[in-house]
Order: sequence, then structure tokens, then C-alpha cells
Amino acid sequence: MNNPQFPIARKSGLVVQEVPDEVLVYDLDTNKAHCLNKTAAAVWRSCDGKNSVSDIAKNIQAELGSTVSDDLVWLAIDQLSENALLENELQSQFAGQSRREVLKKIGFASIVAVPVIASLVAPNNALAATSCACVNPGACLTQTTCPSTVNCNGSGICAP
Amino acid sequence: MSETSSATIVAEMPDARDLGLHFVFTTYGVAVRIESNDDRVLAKAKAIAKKAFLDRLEFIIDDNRSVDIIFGIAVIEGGAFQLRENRENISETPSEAILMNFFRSYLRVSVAERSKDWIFVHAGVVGYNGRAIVIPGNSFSGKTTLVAELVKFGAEYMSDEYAIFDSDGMVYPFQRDLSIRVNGDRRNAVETKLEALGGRAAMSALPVGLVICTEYVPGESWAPVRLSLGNGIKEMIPHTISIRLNTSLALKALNTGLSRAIILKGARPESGPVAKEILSLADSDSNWS
Repeated sequence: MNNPQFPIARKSGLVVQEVPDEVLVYDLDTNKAHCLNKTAAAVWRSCDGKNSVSDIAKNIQAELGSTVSDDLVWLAIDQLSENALLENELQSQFAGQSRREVLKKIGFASIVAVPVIASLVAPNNALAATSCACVNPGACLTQTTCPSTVNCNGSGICAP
Repeated sequence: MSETSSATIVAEMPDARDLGLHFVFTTYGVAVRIESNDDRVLAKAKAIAKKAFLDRLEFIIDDNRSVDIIFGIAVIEGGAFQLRENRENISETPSEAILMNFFRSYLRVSVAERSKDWIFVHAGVVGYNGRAIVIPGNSFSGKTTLVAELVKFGAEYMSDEYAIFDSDGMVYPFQRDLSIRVNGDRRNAVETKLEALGGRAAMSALPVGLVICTEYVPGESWAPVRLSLGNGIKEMIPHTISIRLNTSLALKALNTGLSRAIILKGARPESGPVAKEILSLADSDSNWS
């Protein structure tokens, strides 16, 4: 199915670190860290607003030296969109299909690694990660990694 | 004598520019001014600051020097204590002990967040045959316990709180006394001297050889998976204190620092057997030294 859309990689509010075979992206707006594997990174780099999904597939095919289907690119686009790493909203190629179904379809047809974006959120409260110190229960509400988010104990720790 | 009997209350001045008494210092490139309206409280704050940064403070005499952060500890009417950040009240409690404990943690995190040249990662660290083993983790994840076991088995102690990276990715020691919990209860944490464990301290910065992303889960077996460099850095990010304020340098330092390291992730059982396996892994790594 032809779906001629032109994805644009988001640039603003991101800090990008190139790592061998991967790209690490830190989103300053959401404090989320994303690790794009080689395929996802290659797709993201090709999202310049001029390349259609089919163009991107061809580019990556040339870059990686293996056959790349439009479906594989769409799988990356879906994840990039889900993680707010694209400027524009695109209509998914896979409406109504689960990712498992899509992976199954692509998995047998592709020797290129399936695109994967793994994400983690940095905690809002650095204090929580380092000490769980508090002076009252209110201070524990945002310390979500501590043993308690409702109790500041007699030692001044967010814990029972 | 009560905690506040010697307090000289100047005034309750929530909007005042200064609490009257102060000192200024720099540590890890961050200039800090600490104010109080009580000389005894100020002296206590000074002792806490010195201990918090292992005496690595440089006191500044110049009153006009600009600073990165101002803390105030005010003794207010009724004998309660207020902690202020940049002259805004952030916490208040009748307990001086609790406020000072909070201040110590808050001061450390504040400096770690603002340091422009150093990247503080909340982690336990030991040195082993010329390379560092870094164990990032939240409070109560069992870092100190694992560090203590590694030290007992011959690793050199570097820190049970921070892995401090420079921009080239080298890790520096931050050797406070180990805060070892009895039965996992923070209220029973005991500050333990390294000598009491029969351990040795690493004396210099080291390149990272191994990163262990783990937390204690009773009954778990030790079967960590190896992570790629990108995913390893991603796992470190939640523990990197300055990730929001100094993102570029933090990512660069972690990228450089971890580029030659083995990165493992997995829940762990009791620390003793795991510590042995970690050191065996280091021994068998031909790239280690």
C-alpha cells in the first residue's frame, strides 16, 4: 500500500549523542532519554521532510546494504512519532494492527534489524534518587523512587 | 540545653535579602553562599558542608562574589527552622536534626546539579586492577551493600554515593564513610569506616571497566544481560544528577566513559556471591587493564 507521507525529524529541544551503531536522544521537554538502534537511527536521520517513506527505505537499503521494506520504515516512524521525535503527525500504515502482528510480518521478510527505540524517564526529583531526605510528608510526594511517597519518618527519610 | 536555647533570633524575615551571617565557598566549580541568623546554626551548617564534600571546599572571603546558589537556614519564632534556597523558603520543621539532615542531602544534590565541569552519577564505585566498577542505582537499591562486599573481596573503595566523571569520562573517588544499613532499614544505617571492612581506598581517577545496573531482589538468581553502549548510557541517565541542567556534557562524559566498558543489567540476589562473580568477570576480561 502506498502511503506517500513525508516525515520530518524533530530538532528543537533535543540533545543528541551519537554512539557507535546507536543514537541517544535526550528530550529536554519531557526529560526522557531514547536509545535508537541502528535502523531506527537511520530512519530518523532520513526524515528531512523531502523523503517519502519509500525514499527512506531506499536510502537505508543503500546505507545498510540489505533489502528494506516500507513496512520496516513505518515501524520506525510509528515509534518515532509515539516518542515525539517527529515534527509532523503521520497517518500510521498499521492502523488496526498490533505491533506484534507487524513485527511478525516484517520479521520474516527482513534481515535488517527491526527498529527499536528504548526509552526511560529521568526522575523529576534528583533528591529522591540520592537520599530520599524529607522534612515533612509533602516532600515525599514527588520522591517516587523512595520507599514511601506519603510518609516522612522520624529520621527525615521518605520511608515507613 | 534545647536545640534552640542559644539561638539569637535576629528576625523572621521571609523577604529579607540576607539573614545576617554567612560564609561562601566553592566546591566542584560551584560557588555557594550559606546564610543564617544564628551563629551556632551557621557553624553547624559549615561543618555539614565540609563533611558533605569531604573537606573539598575553598572558602571565599570576597563578599561581593557572585554565587551559583544561596542557602539560608533561619531560626524563626517558636524555635522552628526554615531552609531557604535563593532566599525562598523551601522547608520548615521544628526539628533541627531533620532540617540539617535534609540540608546535607539537598546541598550535595544542588552542587551536583550545577557543576559545569563534573558529572555526578548516583552510584557505588570500586576500583579493581586499574579500572572502575560502577553500580548506578537509587537509594535503597543495595549499592552500598554490594560495594562493601566487593571491597571485602579485594576491590578498592571509591564511593558508595557518587561516580564523579570528568569530561573525558574518567571516574574520581568520593570516599565518604560507607552508610551501611542493618537489615535494610535506613533508620539503622551505620556510618562505617573503610578500615572496619578491612578495605583499601583507590587513590586516583580510573577509566570505567564495568557497569552493573542492578538492584537487590530477594530470591533472584544472578543472570544479567549485556547492554549496548547506548542502552547502558540510557540506564545511567536517571541516576545522573545534572542531566537536566548540563545535558550535553553529561551525555558526552558518559559516552566517553563507558565506551570501553562492559555494561550489565539484571536483578541480583545476596551481595556476597554476586561480588565474587563480578570480580571473576573482571579477571577474565582481556581488555581490563
